[in-house]
Amino acid sequence: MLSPEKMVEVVLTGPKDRMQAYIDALHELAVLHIRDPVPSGEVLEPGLPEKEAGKHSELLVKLRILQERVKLEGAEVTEKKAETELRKNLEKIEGVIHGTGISLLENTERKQKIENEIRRLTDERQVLEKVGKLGLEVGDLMPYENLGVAVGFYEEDILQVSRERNLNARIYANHKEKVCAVIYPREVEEAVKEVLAGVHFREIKLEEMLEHARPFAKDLTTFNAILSAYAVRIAMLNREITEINKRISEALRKYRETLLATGEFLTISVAKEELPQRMLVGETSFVLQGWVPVSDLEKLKKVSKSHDVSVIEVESEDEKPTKLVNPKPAKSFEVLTKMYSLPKNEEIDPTSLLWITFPLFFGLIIGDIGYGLMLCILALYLRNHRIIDIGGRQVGNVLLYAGITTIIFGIIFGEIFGLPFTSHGDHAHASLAQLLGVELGYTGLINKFVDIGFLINATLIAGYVHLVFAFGLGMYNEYHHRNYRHIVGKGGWIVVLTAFFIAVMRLFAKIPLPVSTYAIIIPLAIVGLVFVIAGEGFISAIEFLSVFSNLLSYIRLFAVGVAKAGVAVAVNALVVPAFFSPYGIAAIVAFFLIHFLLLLLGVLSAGLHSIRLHYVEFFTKFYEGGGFTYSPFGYRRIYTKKGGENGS
Amino acid sequence: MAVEGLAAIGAGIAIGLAALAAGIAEKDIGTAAIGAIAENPKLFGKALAIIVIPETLVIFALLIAFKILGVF
Repeated sequence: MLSPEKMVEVVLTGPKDRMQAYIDALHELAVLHIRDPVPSGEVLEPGLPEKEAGKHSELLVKLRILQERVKLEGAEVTEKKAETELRKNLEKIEGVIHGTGISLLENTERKQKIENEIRRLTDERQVLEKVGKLGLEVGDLMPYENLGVAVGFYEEDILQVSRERNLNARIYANHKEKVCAVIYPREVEEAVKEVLAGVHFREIKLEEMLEHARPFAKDLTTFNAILSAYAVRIAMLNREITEINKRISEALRKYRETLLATGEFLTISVAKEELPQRMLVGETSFVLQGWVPVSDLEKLKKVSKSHDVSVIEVESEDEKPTKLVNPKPAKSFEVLTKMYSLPKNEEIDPTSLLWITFPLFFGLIIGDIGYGLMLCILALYLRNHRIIDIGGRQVGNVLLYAGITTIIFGIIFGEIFGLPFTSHGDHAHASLAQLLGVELGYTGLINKFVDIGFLINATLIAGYVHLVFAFGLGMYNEYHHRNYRHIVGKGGWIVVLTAFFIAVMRLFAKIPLPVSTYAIIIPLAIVGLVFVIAGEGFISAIEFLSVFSNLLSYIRLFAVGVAKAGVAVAVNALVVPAFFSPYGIAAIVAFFLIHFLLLLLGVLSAGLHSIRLHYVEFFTKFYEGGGFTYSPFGYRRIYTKKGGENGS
Repeated sequence: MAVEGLAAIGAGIAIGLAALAAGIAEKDIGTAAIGAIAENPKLFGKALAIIVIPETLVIFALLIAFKILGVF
């Protein structure tokens, strides 16, 4: 639970003529994380891929391109297809994917081209329509030897600017569309250009557009004729698209399942065919290296033996891949561990600790029944949906735990949507009891705004326990690595931390001590420091004060919560009195809307502060991370099955 | 001015200056961290942990403010 799956490094050696069958068996078994070989340059060299690998991977790439263009996944798959069947039909499917004529790749490409053309034509048509509103015809807008013409869009008032500049030119402008045509004698071209630059003129390349229209428009002299030619052309292209769509969906209806299965078959085939490149192969034998979970070693040995492959376990100092094993409820919190860094194989996996303390801290920060309920609903929604790329089962579960603890702390604080159960003193303007018009016997065990001293002390104690636990885990780590000197160092830190803790508690909690505080903390701190220096060296002692700041950092559990509750109280002071006014319904809607917004902000800050306490204060005492994921050679089949017979 | 008034101003200055300092510190760290994340998105978690380190300053200030106000 606290450590990743144990791995063992193995070297597999077998006869070359059995290699093919063995690779198949290994792939089915899916337990070996393959280690890329280091060529020794002697007898054994990395092998060559099977001869079909190139062809298969090429087809796979084409299939992936196709999947970018059309969605294949989604609908129910009725039966798993057999591999031999797929291999036999590969050529036919190849034709469906990229053969000449009516293949899917060709059709989708043609479709994209036509869609682009339609887009361009539509844009051009819009521009021409606007130019047409000038009331001129095409012939009027063609330049002559002595007359220049500029057609385009402007931003500032062109007529006024040209009047101011006394420009010798004829200007036709449509103010609504901001389009104009300027006809000018060539000798004032420079002045015209200046004026046009002044009004942010964007020129329309009229002649170019006419050139585009020439192939499908008979009459290029009037705008009306050109526009209708554009319309006819666009309609024709749209019909073509409909035609192509029909062809594509027909092909998909017929081949969708086969395409999916072929994709899977090819993925598996390519992985198998390229595997020899990751082996060392000699004239008669092959060597394969990798890691196996200890629990799967027997399975691997059994399969290997039936293929005459010998399995040798090797001891090595090298990094092993990491496979996290956590109880099911804690599994979702792996997402938080991985966000920091995946643990190394031999390291403590802090996921199950996060599972306990993350929701606790989170709940303590927000601590409100109403917010907890909203968060639970949000979490249940996020389990199956995504909002701006945030969501998924794991995130949903993490938030659900956080929501539940938020409700529990809400009951302790006696707070619902920032409203206390019953008013106390001058701290709250409205309360639940007042709103419902009943007396509530329960007021909450702790009040965030009154019991400040108690909450600061409580969070400090939580911090102390958390940090001691972290140093304890650090000691365990050092013990595991046989670094006995460092254990002394970690112990020293615990003593230093305790000295600080006593000092802080004396200061804030005013706990009476039998002797002077200094008589206890100074010797403790010195003893702790001596241990630290003995264990970790003199340089570590510089971090002396960081332990102090680590400890005080836990006060945020209370501080952030109070800040959030303060905002909620302010909102209620404004909105709740309006419940009974003529705008009651609007006030109630505003109440929930604002509190939902505050919840989102609260989730962000509570989540961030809670995770920060783990990343900065907790993890740094024992956790390194930097492991790599265990991904065994194999594939979880969805659309295909091994062997020949067809079935469901 | 009453002593309580001066105390309240003192508490305000304590929090305000600390928050300002934390903000300035986080600005520089954050800029560098975003650069690092752009190079390697996997660093997000660690970058987050480094960015928020100066926040503790404000917590110290909060304690001082409470002490000045004599809340506990």
